[in-house]
Amino acid sequence: MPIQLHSNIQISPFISSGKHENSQFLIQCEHINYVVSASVKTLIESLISYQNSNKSLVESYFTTTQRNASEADIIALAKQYIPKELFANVELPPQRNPFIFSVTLLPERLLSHVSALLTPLFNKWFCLIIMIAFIGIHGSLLTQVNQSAALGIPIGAIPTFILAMLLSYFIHELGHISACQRYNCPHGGIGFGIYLVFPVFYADVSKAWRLSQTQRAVVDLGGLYFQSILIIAVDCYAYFTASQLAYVLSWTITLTMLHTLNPFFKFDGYWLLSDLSGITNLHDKMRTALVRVKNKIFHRTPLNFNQDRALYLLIPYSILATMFFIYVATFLSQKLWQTGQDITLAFSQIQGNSLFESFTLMLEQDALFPLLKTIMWAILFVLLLSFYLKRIKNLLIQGDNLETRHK
Amino acid sequence: MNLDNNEINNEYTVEALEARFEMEAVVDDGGAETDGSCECKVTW
Repeated sequence: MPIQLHSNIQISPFISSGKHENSQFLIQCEHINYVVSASVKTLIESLISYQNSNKSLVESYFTTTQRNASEADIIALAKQYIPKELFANVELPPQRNPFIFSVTLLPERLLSHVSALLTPLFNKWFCLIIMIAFIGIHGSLLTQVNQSAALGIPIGAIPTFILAMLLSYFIHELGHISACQRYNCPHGGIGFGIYLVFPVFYADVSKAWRLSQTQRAVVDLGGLYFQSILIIAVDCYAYFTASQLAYVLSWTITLTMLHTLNPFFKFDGYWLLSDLSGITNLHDKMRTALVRVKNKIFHRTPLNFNQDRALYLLIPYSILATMFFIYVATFLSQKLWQTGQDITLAFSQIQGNSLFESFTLMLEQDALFPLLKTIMWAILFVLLLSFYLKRIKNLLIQGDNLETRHK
Repeated sequence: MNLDNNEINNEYTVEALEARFEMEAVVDDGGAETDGSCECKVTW
């Protein structure tokens, strides 16, 4: 055979807002996902048909595309436009993930039993009841939750608090997984990883690309939905028992829920915005949108909103993201300056003493632990600041050189 | 068949989709103070 594709390639329509039906298709092969045009899809189909029949390549191509082409032309076309990972002689690359480090805590085979039991929770009437209950109960208790949370919890309650928060993260990820299961979409496992500088829990829902836009949005919101159910239970417990721990838990879970809606990192808010808008690979396209804004400002190149309607969202999103990163970088710089001054002050007070004397002096003054804590914060601020500065540099300076995967 | 033709390039489009990992950042308790004041700050 002159050319051969992997045998487990799956093709399905990729429905996205602003695009005509049957104009885009999803090509999935194991963990690899591509959105292709109808022409690439029929080219792939003709190669699959050729592999699975006794027809020649030319015949298969004609049957599928209704076009005449020589074998050499078809091979050249395939090599130019079909991603190389789909060819049988190319080994599939390992799954790319956004983590510096990651570990799967609960594999798919274990989760599928649990998630199958939870799919009835996505019944639309049940969802409606939960949403009304959440708004009613949490909304009416929010002021009290906020005031009580400000008082904190006793030191002895911290292990319970940590365990409850871990349960909350697990329930959140289970929500995403169960939403996939609800639509009979295969899913991966739940794990823990380091994303940029954040410790995160994650659910691998890469196969969800095969779902419709609305279904993908449900998968995105599944985590928050499950946490809403948890919050209703925690709020009720807090209300009837006046438990300080429950109030703090309710407040902290609320904050994590709001945090995950941040659309500038790849948290739930990012995927929700991407799915609802129908714009894939938002981060990549954000950089190209900024390049177009720069070209408009410096070279008066027209933006052509009519030709690329995604710019209506991409340009404000990109500008807001840049402002967000600059704001956080400024905040971190101020914090770093303050902690730097605190450390300098602490060291100036022990100047002239030997290391042992300084150590003893700080122990006597109860100053050692606060100093170590300040140094730790300073290191964290440096790490975070370097990340944000790199991000801003990528957006504003290196965007011109970006090689997008969008042909 | 001219494979470098712009029309063909517009007709044959391929976009690699990013892997979907739904994440939730861990919000720490900021360290509860041990002085009995029961303080538990929330930071990230």
